[in-house]
Amino acid sequence: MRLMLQFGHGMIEHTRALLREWGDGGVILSPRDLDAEQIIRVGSEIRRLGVEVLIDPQCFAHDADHSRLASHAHFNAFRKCTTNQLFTPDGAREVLRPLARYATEIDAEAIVIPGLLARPVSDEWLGLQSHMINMANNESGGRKVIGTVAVGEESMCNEESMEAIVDAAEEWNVSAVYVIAEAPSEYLVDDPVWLANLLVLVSGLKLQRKRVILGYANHQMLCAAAANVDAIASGTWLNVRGFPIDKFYQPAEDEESRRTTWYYCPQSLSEYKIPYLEIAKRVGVLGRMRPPVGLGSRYAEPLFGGVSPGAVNWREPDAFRHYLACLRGQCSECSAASFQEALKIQHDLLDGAAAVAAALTAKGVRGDYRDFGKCFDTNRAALAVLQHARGGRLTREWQGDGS
Amino acid sequence: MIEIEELRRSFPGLQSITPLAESGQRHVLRAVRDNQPVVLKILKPTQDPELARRELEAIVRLDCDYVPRILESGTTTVGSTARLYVIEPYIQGESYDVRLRREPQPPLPLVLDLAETLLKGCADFAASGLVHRDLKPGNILLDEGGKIWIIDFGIVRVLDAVSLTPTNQQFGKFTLGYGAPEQMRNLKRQIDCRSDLFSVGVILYESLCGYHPYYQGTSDPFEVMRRITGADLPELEVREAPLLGSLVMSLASRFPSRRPQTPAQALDRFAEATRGLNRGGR
Repeated sequence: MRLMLQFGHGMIEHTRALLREWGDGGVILSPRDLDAEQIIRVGSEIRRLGVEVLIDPQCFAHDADHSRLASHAHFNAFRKCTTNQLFTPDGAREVLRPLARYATEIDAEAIVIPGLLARPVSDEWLGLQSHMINMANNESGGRKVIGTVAVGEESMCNEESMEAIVDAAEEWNVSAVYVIAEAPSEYLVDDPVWLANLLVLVSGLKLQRKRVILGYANHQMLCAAAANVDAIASGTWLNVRGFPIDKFYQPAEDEESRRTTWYYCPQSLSEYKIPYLEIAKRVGVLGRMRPPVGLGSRYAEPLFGGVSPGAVNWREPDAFRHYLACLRGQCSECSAASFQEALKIQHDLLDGAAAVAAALTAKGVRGDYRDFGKCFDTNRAALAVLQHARGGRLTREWQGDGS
Repeated sequence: MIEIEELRRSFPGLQSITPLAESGQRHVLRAVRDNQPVVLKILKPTQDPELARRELEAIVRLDCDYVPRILESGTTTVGSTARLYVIEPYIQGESYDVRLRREPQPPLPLVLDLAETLLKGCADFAASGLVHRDLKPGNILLDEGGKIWIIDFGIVRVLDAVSLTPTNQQFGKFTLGYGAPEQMRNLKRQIDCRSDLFSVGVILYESLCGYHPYYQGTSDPFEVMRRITGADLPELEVREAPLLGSLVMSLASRFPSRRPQTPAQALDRFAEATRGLNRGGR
C-alpha cells in the first residue's frame, strides 16, 4: 500500500518538498483549494516529476457552495444539474467534459468520475454511478476511468449498503475506485461497525481486481492494507484526513485559526501537543517517541536534539511533513505478500502501539482527542470482521504485495 | 389424477406403470422399459411450457455424472392433451431428506462425499450456463451403490436466456430454507452459480450440525426469511476439519461476494480443507 497526497489548503509547497524528497508518489488535487489555473499549473508541474496526478471532482452535493469549488466549470455544471438531469447523456457530458479537459491539460493518466455522496446508498444512487461511469468511458479520450464511491455516515454503518455497492461494482468498467467514507467523528473513529464496513467495502472492490484508493484518510486507515487496498490518500489539516462534507459549503479558510501543533508518534499511532513532548522529556520517555529512522521522516529531528521540545521552533509545516513522511513509511511497512501476513502486520502494529501508548500514558503523556487509545480495539474488531467476511477469498485471491 | 390406462396407451413401450409422486408441476411414475426400471415424468398442462422446455434442454445439454441422463423425451398425447414427458433411469435408493430425517447428522465421510458431489455438480451446471436454483435434500438421491445424484431441474435458470420470472415480482423462485437470498428477493442480476453454492452451504451446514440452521426453533416462514437475509449463520466448528467449517460458512453467506465466486474455487477450498482426512466408513 502506498500513500497519495490529498490536497487541501496550503498543500502546494508541502507537496513540492515531499515529492522532491521521495521522488515518487501520487497526488489528488482539490478544486476546493485550487482554482482552474492552479489545477493546471500545479498538476502539470507534478506530472513532470513523473508522479500520478488525479483530480477529485468533489461533486458530492448539488448545493455545495464553496466559492472556489463553484468557480470550476465541471462543478458549476454539476450544481446546475438536478440528479435527474445528470441521468441524461447531455447532463453527464456537461460535468465530465471540463474534467476531461483538465486531464488533457495536465496529461493525467486517468479521470476521476464525479460521485454524489450516498445518503443513503439507494437504487437511484447506484444507477447514477453506472450511468456516469458509462458516460465517462465515452468522454475520457482513452484515459483510464476511476469511479468515485462516496458514502454517507449512515450508510457506512449499514452492512447491506456495502454489499450493494460491491455487487453493483461488478458491472463497472473502471480501472480503479476512489472510496470516500463520511465518518461519525471529525478524526479518529471509535465505532467498530463503521470501520469494519469500510474494510468490507474496500476489500470487496479489491476482490474484483479493481485498484482501490481510499481518500481523505489518516493513519487509522493503515488497516486498509489488510484489505489489500492499493493506496490511502492523506494530507495536512484534519479536513483532508477525514471527510467533513461541510467544508464544501464553507466560503473561506477555516483552518489557519487552529494553530495547535501536533507531533505524530508513529510508534503509538497517536499525536501529542508539544507541551506533552516537554513532559515526556522531563519524565524520561521522550526517546520512546522518536520516529524510527526506517520510516524516513527527518522533519522531527529538532524535537529530539537534546533541547527542550518546547523551546524548539517546530511549526505546522514540520508537523505536517513529519506526519506524511511517517505515514508513507508506515504504508510501505503495512504492505504484505499475503492476507495472513497483512493481518499479522496489523496486529503487531496495534499491539506495539498500544504498549507504547500505555507506557506514555502511565508517565502522563497523553494525546488528547488524537490519542489512539480508544481506537485500538476498534481496529482489532474491524480486522476480525474483515477476516470473517472475506478471509477465505482474500487468502486465496491476494494480489501482489499490496503496494 | 392421471389415468394409468391412458398412459399405457400413450407409452406402449413401458410396462408396470405405477405412480411414484406428484407435484404442482408434474406426475412422476415408475415403469419398466427393456427390463430396466425407469422414471416417467409427465408435465401437467398447467405448467408453463416454456419452463418445461428449458428444463428439458438444460438436462440434455448438461454433461454431469451426478444427474440422471434422459433416455427419451418429447411430446405425446395423453388422453386428449399434448403433454411433455421425460423418461430417465430409475434410481433405486432414498432421497437425502429421508436420510436426514432418519439420521440428522450423517457420518462425516458421507457429508464429505455429498459436498464433493454437489460442488462438482455445480461446476458442471456452471459450465453449461445453468443455475439449478433448487438444490435441497429432497432433490438429492443416494442410490443403493452409494452414489449421490442430483435431480429436479424444475426451476433451472438458463443464464443466456431471457428470465421467465417477472422482474417486478417481489419473490423469485426458490425453496425456503435453501434458496439464496438473491433468489428470494428476485435480484436476477445476482443469480448465478453462487446461488447454487449458497444452497450447498446450507445443506452441508445442516448435515454437519444435525439441524437446519434457519428452521431451528421456528416454523414461521417469515422468521426463516428474516434469518436468511438478516444475519450470518452461527460459527460452525468441524473438529476433524476446521477449514471445512469456514468453507461451509462462506458458502452459506447471505452475500454473494463473500462466497467462493465459482464452484472451482469452492472445490479447491474443499480439497484443502479435507486433505489427509479419512473418508472411508460412510
